[in-house]
Formats: sequence, structure tokens, C-alpha cells
Amino acid sequence: MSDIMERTLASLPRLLSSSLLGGGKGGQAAGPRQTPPPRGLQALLKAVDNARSRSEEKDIVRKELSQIKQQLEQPGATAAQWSEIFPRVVFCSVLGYDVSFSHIYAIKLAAKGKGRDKRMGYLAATFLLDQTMELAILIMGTLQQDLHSSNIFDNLMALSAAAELVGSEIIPHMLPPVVKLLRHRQALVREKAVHCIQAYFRRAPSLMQHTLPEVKGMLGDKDPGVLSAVVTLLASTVEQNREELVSLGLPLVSILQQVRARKFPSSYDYHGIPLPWLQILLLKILAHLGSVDDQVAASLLPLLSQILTDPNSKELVSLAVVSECLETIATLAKSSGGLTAAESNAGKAEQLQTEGVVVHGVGGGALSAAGPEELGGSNGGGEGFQDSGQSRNSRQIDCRTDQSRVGKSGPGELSGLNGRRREELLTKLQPLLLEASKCVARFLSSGVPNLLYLGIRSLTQLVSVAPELASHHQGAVVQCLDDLDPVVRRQTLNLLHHMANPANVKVVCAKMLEQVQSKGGDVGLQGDVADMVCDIAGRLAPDPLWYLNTLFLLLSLPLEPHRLSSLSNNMLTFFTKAAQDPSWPAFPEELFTAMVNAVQDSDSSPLSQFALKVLRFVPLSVRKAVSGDKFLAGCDRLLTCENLEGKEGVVLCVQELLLRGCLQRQDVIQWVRASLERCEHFTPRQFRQKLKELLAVASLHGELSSLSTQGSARAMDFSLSFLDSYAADMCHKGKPFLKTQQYTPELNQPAVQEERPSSLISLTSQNSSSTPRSGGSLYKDTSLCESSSLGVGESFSLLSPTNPLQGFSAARKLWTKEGFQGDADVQQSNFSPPVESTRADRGMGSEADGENAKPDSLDEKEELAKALFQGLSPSGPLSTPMATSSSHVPMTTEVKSLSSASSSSTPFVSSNSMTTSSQDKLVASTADLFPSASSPVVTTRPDSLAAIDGSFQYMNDSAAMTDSSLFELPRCDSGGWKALHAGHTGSGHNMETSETDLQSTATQSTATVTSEHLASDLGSSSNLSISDDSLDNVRDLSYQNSPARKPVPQSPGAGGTQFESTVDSGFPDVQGSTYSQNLHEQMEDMDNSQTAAEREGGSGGLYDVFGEDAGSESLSSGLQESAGSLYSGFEDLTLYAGEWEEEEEEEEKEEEEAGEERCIQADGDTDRNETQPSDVFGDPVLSTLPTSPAK
Amino acid sequence: MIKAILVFNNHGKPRVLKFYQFYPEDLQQQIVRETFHLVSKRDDNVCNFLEGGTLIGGSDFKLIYRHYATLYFVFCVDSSESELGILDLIQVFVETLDKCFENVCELDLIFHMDKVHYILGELVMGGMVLETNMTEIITRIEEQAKLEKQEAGISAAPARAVSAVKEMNIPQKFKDIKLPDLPSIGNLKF
Repeated sequence: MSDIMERTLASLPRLLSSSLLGGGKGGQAAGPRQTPPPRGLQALLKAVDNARSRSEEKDIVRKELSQIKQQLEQPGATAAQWSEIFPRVVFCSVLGYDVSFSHIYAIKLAAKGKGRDKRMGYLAATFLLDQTMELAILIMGTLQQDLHSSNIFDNLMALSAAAELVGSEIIPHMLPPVVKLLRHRQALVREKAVHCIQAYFRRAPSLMQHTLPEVKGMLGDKDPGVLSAVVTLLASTVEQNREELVSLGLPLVSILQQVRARKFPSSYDYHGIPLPWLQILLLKILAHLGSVDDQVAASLLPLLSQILTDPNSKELVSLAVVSECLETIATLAKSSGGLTAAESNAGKAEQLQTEGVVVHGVGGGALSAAGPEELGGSNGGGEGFQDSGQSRNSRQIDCRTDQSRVGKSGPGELSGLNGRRREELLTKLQPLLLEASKCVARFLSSGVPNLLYLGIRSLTQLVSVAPELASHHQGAVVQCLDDLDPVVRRQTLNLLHHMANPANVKVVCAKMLEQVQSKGGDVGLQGDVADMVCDIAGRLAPDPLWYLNTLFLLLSLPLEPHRLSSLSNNMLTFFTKAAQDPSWPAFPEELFTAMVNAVQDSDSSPLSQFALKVLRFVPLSVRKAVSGDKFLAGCDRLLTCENLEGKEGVVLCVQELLLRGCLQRQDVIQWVRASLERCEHFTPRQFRQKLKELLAVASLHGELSSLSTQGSARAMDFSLSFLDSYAADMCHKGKPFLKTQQYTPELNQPAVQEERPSSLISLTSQNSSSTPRSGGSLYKDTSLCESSSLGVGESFSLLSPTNPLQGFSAARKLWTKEGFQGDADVQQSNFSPPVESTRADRGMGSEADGENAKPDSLDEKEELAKALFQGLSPSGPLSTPMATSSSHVPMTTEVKSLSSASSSSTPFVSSNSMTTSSQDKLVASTADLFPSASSPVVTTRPDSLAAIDGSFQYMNDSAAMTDSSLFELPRCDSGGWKALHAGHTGSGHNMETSETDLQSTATQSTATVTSEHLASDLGSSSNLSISDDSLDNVRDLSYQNSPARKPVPQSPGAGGTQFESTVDSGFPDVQGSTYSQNLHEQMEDMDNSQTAAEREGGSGGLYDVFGEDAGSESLSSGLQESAGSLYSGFEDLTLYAGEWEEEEEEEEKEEEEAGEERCIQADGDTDRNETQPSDVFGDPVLSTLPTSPAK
Repeated sequence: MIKAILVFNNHGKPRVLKFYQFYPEDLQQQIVRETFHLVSKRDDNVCNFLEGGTLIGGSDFKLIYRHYATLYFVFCVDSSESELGILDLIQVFVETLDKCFENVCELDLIFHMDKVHYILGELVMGGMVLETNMTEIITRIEEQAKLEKQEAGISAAPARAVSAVKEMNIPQKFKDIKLPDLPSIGNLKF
């Protein structure tokens, strides 16, 4: 191309655009608005191109379209007139305007037009319609007619249209005429018919299998066009029908031979190359067939080498054939990789294994990452994986491999010779691979960008089967890393990704990071690089610290949120493993220090957030003091972030560190107070609550840390033996020793309930009012605490001056998750104290920096090349992968592994073992609960029972308990409900009387058993790894519970109150006013947190007392919480059982006397505490209050 | 498989669109805009392949394009297509257009939209490469045109369209955009 021509071409756009876009002043005079409405296409085009804005263009086109519509609708318009209109319609459609009104006319035109008009009709129809549209069915009749027509042109048009417009449901109806046309005398018709069949194949492969034999028979067609069409069809179906097509292997090879030998008319040459596209297609098919059938592969090899060494391959299109040939070689080598692995030494085994294995080093397991070139299919990949995973030289596996392959490839193929043939094939492949490598070298050195790209891509494929080949192209690859074209750079990074091995992983990662950091790069590139680095670093990381340094850099990239979260999940998994890996004893401490530093110094939010996560979730045994000022200042910075989850994470992390003893109590207390002051008004309650909890925990710190270091977890104590002393005490004080038989029948009588409706109603109305689960004096106390500026922690000690900590610990022993975790011993840690270890990786940072420096001189490039191609050269010893222990774990198991890992360490960590996603879910679930709690909807009692029933069943399902008979009781209506109530009251007495064994003395109090089962169900499920499913269950459960609570105010039966206060769990302080002082001691801690929970509205049940008291994250331990709340309800039964009788009376009196006053008080408290989501919630209830005492 | 064939000018105005998979009109426009954005900022001396945009198939798809004077020809293909093969297919397409229109220009693509689509229909059918032999395609088109004339009588439409082009206030010489030859790689040593 001459320079003059180039310049002419370059000047054209300017000239054209100036004339088209109104640059010329002459044409501008009229202006688009003054011009008469455009009638023809050229006028339309001119007007549109002259439009100065999008809206102007819109106006013009809209006008035009309405005109077109008019013309189309004109009665008596001829087909010719219509066909003149359609170019304009298509033009408008190309511009992006809706022309759906014209669809029907296109179909009509195709039906009634002739010749040219018909063609225009079909053209418009295929352009405007899609097979998924309903209108497309209208053209089927026309298509049928034209397919059967004797006019060749009608046939051709119909075939073209049918290929695009026939949907999968109509294919059976439209198939016969097409099949008939396969035998048409005209080659052109046959060709199009084959293409049409192929389009059908793509849409409904299952319906088309029976046409395969016929199509296969057409391979013998003399016309190259038909032949190409058939090969195209075969190429598109070969992946699904490999077995069926394997018999075609040899004929196809011979076709390829003939094409290469120019047996076809020379008019089909393109730039002197015979049928290049056909060659490409044939190579594609043969790559598939050759990997299944050895004979095909063997006969293909000479052809491949002929193509590679073709001296005439200078045309671009012949290079297309060559590059396809490279791909075929790579595929063949890959398919025969399994055998080589067994046959050759370790080094060679590494070379020729399947990509899945080579890339993933030692049992990477991520077979899915094998890429699109994984032509051997999952079968081959799986076997390759097995080979490497078990033994390199086990002949057995290979035999099996062969057998399964052959078994797949069809009958009669299995023979003893097969293995030997494959060996021969491989030995023949070796020189071919070398030849391919030379070819790649030519591509890379050509200087043509397209060839460079293809060369790198082919090299990627080759390297995945023969890593040693990469070393021949060191210089070129290093140069490509600095190529101007981002596409080439990206492809090169992909190559590096496939080249990565334990020896060069550091350099490769450094290079990748350099790419994204220095060149800016688009978001897509950064994301891809992040994925690649994460993958290879996770698989091949020589040591965790290097991993830490490398991936921390990734977090500072501006990645998309979903990538960031998956990245941090991967890292968390890795760290959890690495921290427990005894081969890196010093790592936990270093990780800890690094994370603390990240929180202190980093400006990047994702980085610090991640550091917080690590500090919270990874079970590090480090108890190193952290500088409170700096760390908390860093936390302050993080608190400015937007999302609530992040904020809570900060608080919870501080809590975690505090509990581990890494932070000073005083610092934390100061910090919390400062934070509380700062964020008083606009921050969500949830967050403030977390801060207050932290404050409480900080105040309890000494006791907690001693608790947290206690080694053993307790099993569930169903006998409630801890109450023994209390019960004995009560008895000693002269409280009546209640016998179940005495009281249960009486309480069962409805009359008893009827006697005291007013008090209970008033009680419930309070309960469901703004502070749903508070009543009585205890509420006052706690609300006072809440309102006091001191916060929960102080109020705690204020309330229980005697010995709060003792009570706390006593309660805690049974009721925290330690109680129901019930697992084996808590492993404090497996780590020996940090041992000084040789840390070669220390130097890594500087080394990487050195690599990061852009190589200016040739020497540096050479060095880089050397580093990059480490471990790839055939002579160099392949270092045994060091990352064996930290093998890659698929993301899906992350939650599980994390939770299990942490549950085996300290209890605090175990309660935190939820991942972020689960937290999200729980937050969502609590959010769900809010509206339900605050809505004053009152349902009828049976409904509520049904809801409760549902929740019971749900729990039953979720815990996979088969013993469902116990749940029958709540299923019945009011009768059952009463029975349930009776059971509860009865169970209360039971617990008082039996004192030791709750279950044994149960007087058929099914409800007790039920609740216990619920408890145990949940307890048991909480021992499982917490899955999102169970979380959902919890949410549903609580969701169903909350409406169940609502109806009580209006239900006539007083028992409803009790039922709710007991079964519905977590309401110990309903009768709190009558609690004795020593009960206070035990309950204080719960009250504190429960009042806190109450402020959250009706969902308080979820805000577990235990999780919070234990200083762990209540939100994250969703299931445990609900288990806890059930337990607490359970406990209520126990605790107030002793007071039952007095309560009944006292309550009555109290309620009558002070009911109204207290309600007002409660309301006032609510206001002061800013606790309620809405006043709307409280109002309806309050309105009922005046009436209730009167009643 | 070829997912879409897009032809737009240097300003991103679509001239010929052909989608082999259904996209609603607004999405089609988005695809054109995104593709234009991707393609237009690339230099002439870099490779003609791009790894796909986000709208049309994602990373499994490639954009293969050629830039002729005022027009970009972009083929969006999946990974089963050979890049260089498609690149040559674009060349065949443009050469055929050039032969049929005797020096094709941007306006021809609009005014003879039908003919362009017929040529495209011979070249690619339902997303698969149908015929790559230029002379064969041209013969078919001409044959068909001849036959249609016989069948439907002499339709005035094409003649009118042609005259419309001639009458437009555009100097004739701009109409002529000479096609560059195939990129020469003669300097390669093999």
C-alpha cells in the first residue's frame, strides 16, 4: 500500500463527515427543521445526520416512522410499495428506534410478494423478528410454502429465513422439507439446507440426531461449498457427538489431505491457499476426534507437520491455518498426556500432563480452571488429576484411563495395542511440539501485532502441555509484557498464569501486579489479574507471609465489590489454614502484626476492613499487646465508612482484641465513650448497641478473659443441675415445695385463667407495646441503666452490688454457647510459642520490588526472563511444590472450613465464625423482623397457633429431627393451645419440684418436652457448621414467632400471655418484678442485654443474651442466638416456676394498682432510650391500656 | 459462532447491524456504543482482536475488527472461531461489497441496505460462515438480481435509489474509498 493511498484514505473521513454531518455551510442553510418531511431514505439520512442533538434526531425519526406507518396501513398498497418502505424501517431500526409496528407487514410482504419483494419481506422479517417472538409463528406458513416451491430462489430465501426464524418448538414441523432439500440437484440449495439443519442443531440438538447419518453421507459431495457446509455442521456438533463422529475421522483426514494437495478447483483458492476456512474447520474437528481415536491422530500427524513446515505460509490466511494447527497439536498432546505421565520420569511427567494438573501443581483441584482448551473433557481432566494425585508411574491408572476413553469412543476399539499405539503417537508428537515451538517463535518475532497475539495464545496452549517449551521464547515473552497493546499484555499475563510454578510464582505475581499498578489498566484487566494472582498465589504460595504481602497489594486496587469479597474470602481461608499450619510457627504472630499495622496505617478502606476481618475470624493465638492509641485511631478512621456492616466489624474487632487481652480496657472504654458521643444521633441503633455492648464487655473484662481462657466447653446440661442450689435456697427460705399433681389440674382449668384476664391483658399490652418484653420493676431498673450516661457496664455493677461477676459467670456457664456447644475440648491452640524460623521470604518484598522496577537494560530483561522461566526449563530441577499443605480450597467450602476451624479454637472465636455473607443474612432477617414487630396487626388466635405450629415444624425440619410426634399438640386449635399453656405452667411446677430432672417428672407436659426438643434441636444444629439455610430457618422461625405474639393482647384467654412469655422465649422479665434478689444476680447480665435487645423491637428474641454477654458477636451467631433465646425461654420456665403462685397474685395486684402508671413509665423510658422503631407501634397498644385495668 | 456483525462509522453511527442472537433494540444500541468505545480508541498499529465487551457474551467472546477509511467492521465471535480466519472473512466481505458497488462507500451501505444484507446472507448464515469464495458470492448475487428482474418486472426502486445517490450534494469522488490491500506480511522470514 502506497503512502499516497494511505493519505487519501486518512483524509476521507474528514471529507465525508464534513459533508454528511452538516459541516458544509451550503447544505446547512435549509436546516433540518425547515426541510419538508423527508420522503425517501436519502432525505431521512440527511436529516438524521444533520440533527444536532439526540432529541432532534428522535423527533425526525418519530415523524418518519408515523409516516411509514401510515403508508403501510394504506389499503390497497402494493407489495412493491411496501418493499420500498422497508429500507427506511430497517434504517430506523439500526438507529435504535422501535419499529415493532412494521413486523406484521414484513411477514405479509414475504407472503404475498414475488421475487424481489418477497426477498425484501424475508430480509425485513429476519432483521426485525426473532424466533422467540410470537409473531414469528405467522411466517411459518409462508416458509413451508416456499420450502416446497419448485422455484430455487424461493427455496434459498426460505432456507435462509428458516435458519433464523424457526424456534425449537416448531423445528419438527419445519424439518421435513429442509431434509428433502438436502437432496436437491442444485449445490447451492443443498449447501443452504445443510446450514439450515445446522442452525436447527444449535437450537435443539436432541431433535436433530436422526439427521446426522444423512448429513454425514453428504461428506462425499463434490461441491466444495456443500462440503464446507457439512464440515461446519460437524464442527459445531463434534463436542457433543464425539463417539458418533469418530468413524468419520479417517475420511476427514483424507479430505484434508486432498485439500492440501489442491484437488479442488482453483477458483476456491483464497490468496493462493486452497479452501483455508475448510482447512481450519477440519483441523478443529480432527483435534477432537484425534484425542479420542489414536488412528485418526496417527494419520493426522504427518499432515500437521506438513502444515507447520509449509514454506508458502506467508499469507495471513495460511497463518490462520497454522495457528489452528498449533491448537490441534496442543489438544492432541493434552489428550495423550495421561500416558506420558506414567511412562516418563518425573520431569517429563510434569511436561505432558493435562493442563488441569500442570497448571494446578499439586492437586490443585480446580479442574474447572483448565480453560476452554480442556478438550479432553472432564473425563480426561479428571484422570489426569488422578494420575498426579496418586502416583506418577502407576500403570494401572493408565490402563483404566485408556479403557474408559476407549469405552467412550465406541465398541471394538479396546485392544492391548492401544496403549502402545499411544506411546508411539507421543513419541511422534515430540518433534511436532518442537516444530510448533519454532512456529510460535516465528509468530512472536514477526512484529505483526496480530501474529504476536496469536503467538502468545498458541504458546499458552503449548505451555500447558509442555512447560519446557516456554523457555525457548523468554525474550519475546518478556518483551510482550511491555507491549503497547493492552490486549497483547493481557494475553501475556494469561500465559504467565499458565506458566506459574512454585519456582517462579513470586516473580510472576510481581509482574502481574506491576501490570495493573503501573499501567493503570481498565477494571476488567485488574479484575482478571486479581483472579489470576489469587489463584496461583493460593496454589503455589511458598510461604504465607509472601502470600500476605502479595494479596494485600491486590486489596488496594479499585476492584469491583464482588471481586473484593471473593478475594478476601479466599484470603481468609488461606490464612485460617496457614495459621494452623505447624510448619509456619511464626506466621500467626506476623499476620497479627501486619493486620494491626494495616488497621493503623492504611488509608485504603478495603485493606483495613480486611485486616479487621482477619483479626476477628482467623483463630490466631497471638496475645500481643497492641498500642491502643494508634489502633483505635485507625478504627476511628474506619468508622467513617458508609456501610453499617463495616462499622460493626470495627467494634466487634475491638471487642475481639479486648477479649484476647491485646487492648487495654481503659483505652477501649474511653474510645467507646468517645465514639458514642460522636455518633449519637444519626447512626443506626444497631451500631450504638454494639458499642454499648462493647462497653459492657470492657467493664467485665477481667472476668471475661479468664473465662475465655478456660479450656473446656461444657456439654448441655439438661438436668438444670445448676439450679439445685437456688432451689434448695428457696426451699430453705420457706417457699412452698410445689407438687405438680397438685397444681397442674387447677391451672389447666380455663376458669382459673378467666379469673385474671385484666392483669394479663395489661401485661401483654405492655409487652407488645414499645418495649415488648419488659414489665415490672426490673424493666424500670434496666431502663434506668440504659438511660444513664454510664452505659450498660456501669449500670450492671450498680444493679448488682453483691457479686455480679459470680452471678454472671454462673449464668454464663450454662447459658452461653459454651453450654450448648457441647463439643469436644476447646483447643486453645495448637501452636507452640513462636519459634524463630528462617524466613527466606523476608527478602521477598525487596526482591519483588526489584522485579517491579521496569527493566531498562538488556541485562535486567534477561534476569527477568530467567526469573520468569524458572522451573520451566527441561534441565532445571522441578522443585517440589511447597504449597502442598496449603492446597487450594474451593470457595464453596469456605464457610464450613472457617467455622469448623474456628470452632476448634477459643470459644469467642467460634461464635464469630460466621462469614460476612451470613452476617448479611442475619441482618436482613432482623430487618425483616422489624416491620413485623412494629406492625399493629392483630391476628386471631388460631392463626397465631398455626404460626407457632409452623415455626415448630420449621425447626423440626431444620434440625432434621424425626421425632415429630411431640409437635402434634400445638397443631390443634384453641384446645390444644390451652393444653399447651397448661403444659407450660405445669412444666414450671415440674421444674420446681423435680429440681434435678426436668424430663422425668414431666406430667405429660408436652410443651415442655417440645420446648426442650426445640432447644436440643437448635443446639444440635448449632454444632453443625452454620449454613445459610439454617439461618434462613432461624429467620423464618423468628418471623413466625413475632406475629404469634401479636394477637395476645386481644385474645380473651389469659394463658396466651403466659404461653407467649414462656414458649416464645426470651422474656424472662415479664414477671421480672417478682424476681427475688438472688435471681437478679443470676439474671442481671441477661437483663442488660435483653433490655438492649428489647430496644430493637419485637425481634429481641434474636438478640441473644448469651452471645452478647460472652462478648462475642450476637449478630453473627444467628443460630446460636435463637437457640439461646429458646433456652432463655426454657429457663424462664425454671426460674419463675418457684414464684409462680406468688406471681399470680402479686402480678394481679401490681398490675391493677400500677398498671397504667407503669405503662406510661414504660412509654417514657422508651422515649428516653430512643429505642423504639416507631411510635406507631406503641400507640395502638397504649390506647388499650386505660381499658385493661378497668376490665 | 458469529454473534453479531456491526458496521459503524468513525463517529459510532451504526450503518449495518446484524445480530445472530436476539437482543432488544436498546441493548443493540448499547452494544454498538460499547463496541465503538472499545474499538475507536485503539491505534492502527495494534492487533485487530479485542477481548469482548461486557454486554455481548463477556470474556468468552472476542471482537475482531477492521478499520477501513470511515468505517469499522466488527465481528463479534465466540472462542470457537479462528481469529485470523474471521479477519480474512471481513476482508472477503468488504472486497465483495467493493466489487458489487464498484468502489463501495458508506452511503452505499445505507442506500443499498438490502443488497448489503444479501451479500452478508451469502457470507454468513445463522452465525456460521457459509461461503467464502468471493467470485461465487458475486455470481450468486448477480444471478439472483437478474432473475428477480425477470420475475417482478423492472422494479423502479433500485434505479431510483441509485439516482438519489447521484443527486445528493456530495461530490462523487468522495464516494470512492479505495480498499487497502491485505496487510502485507511479506517481510516475514519463514
